[in-house]
Amino acid sequence: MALGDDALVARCQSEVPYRVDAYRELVRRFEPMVFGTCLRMIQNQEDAEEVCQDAFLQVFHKIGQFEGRSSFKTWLFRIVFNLSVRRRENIAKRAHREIKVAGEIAKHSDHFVPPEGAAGQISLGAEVEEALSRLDGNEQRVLILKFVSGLSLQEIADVFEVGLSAAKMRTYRALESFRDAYQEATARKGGPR
Amino acid sequence: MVTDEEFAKREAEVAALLREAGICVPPKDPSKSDAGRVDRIVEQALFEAVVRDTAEFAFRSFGETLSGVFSALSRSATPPPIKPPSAPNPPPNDWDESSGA
Repeated sequence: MALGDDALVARCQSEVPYRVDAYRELVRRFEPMVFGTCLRMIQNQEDAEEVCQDAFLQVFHKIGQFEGRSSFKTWLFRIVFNLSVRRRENIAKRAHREIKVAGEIAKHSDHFVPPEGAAGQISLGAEVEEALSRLDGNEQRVLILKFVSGLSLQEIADVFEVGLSAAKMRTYRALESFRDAYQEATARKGGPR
Repeated sequence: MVTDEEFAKREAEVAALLREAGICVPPKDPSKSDAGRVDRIVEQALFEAVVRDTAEFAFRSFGETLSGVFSALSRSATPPPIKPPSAPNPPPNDWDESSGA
C-alpha cells in the first residue's frame, strides 16, 4: 500500500541525503503538478524544466526544516511559486535588455529583424490563452494555482500568506477578470463559439 | 461579500473553459510523471549532496591542516627560554686571612 504524503515526507526527512527512495517517490508524485504549474507560470519549456528541478532540489536540501505547520503540498507550491515569479521577473528583465539592444542595433542597420518573442508577444492562439494573458500577474497566478496546480482555497491562502476570505476574494476577482477578458477576446474574433 | 453559490458558479464556468482549452489540472498520479525528469532531479540531488559533503570535508581538513601548520610555525618561531648567564668564577682570594696564608 502506498504511503500517504505525510508519512512519505517523514520517511524522506529521516532518509535524505543518505537514501533517496522516499525522495524519489515524492518527486514522482508531485512532478506532473509542479512542472505543469511552472510551464503555465513561465511559458517557456526550458525555464520551466529548470525551475521544476530547482524546486525539488530545494525540497531535498530543506526537507529537514519542514515543520509540518502547513501541508507538504502548500510548502512545495510556495517554493514553486516564489521560484517561478523570480524566473518570470528575470525573463522580463532579459527581454527588456534584448529589446533595448535590438533598438540600438536597429538604429544602425536597416536589415535587423528583432528576435521572436523578445517583446513578450508570445503567439497565444486560442481565446482562453489570450484572456489568461490579459490578466495581471497576481490574477494569473491565482488561476494557475487553482486550475493547473489544483490547490484548494485554503492552500492558495497559505501560498499567498493571506487569510482564507482574502484568498477567496482574490480568486473571485481573478475569475471575474478572466471571464471579462474571455468575452472581449471572443467578441473581437466574431462572437463566442 | 461573495456568496458560496456565486463563487461556485463562476468557478465552474472558468473550469469548463480551461478544460475545453486543454488547461486542466494534471492528476496527482505518479504514473503520469516523466520518468526521465524524475531521474534527472534525483541524480542532481545526489550529486549536490556529494559536492556538499566533499566541500565540507575539504573545508574542515583545510582548517585543521592550517591550524596544525600555524601551531608548528608558532612553536618554531618562539625563541628558546633565556637561561640566566652563569656566574663567573670568583677570582682566587689570595689575601683572605681566613685561608691561613
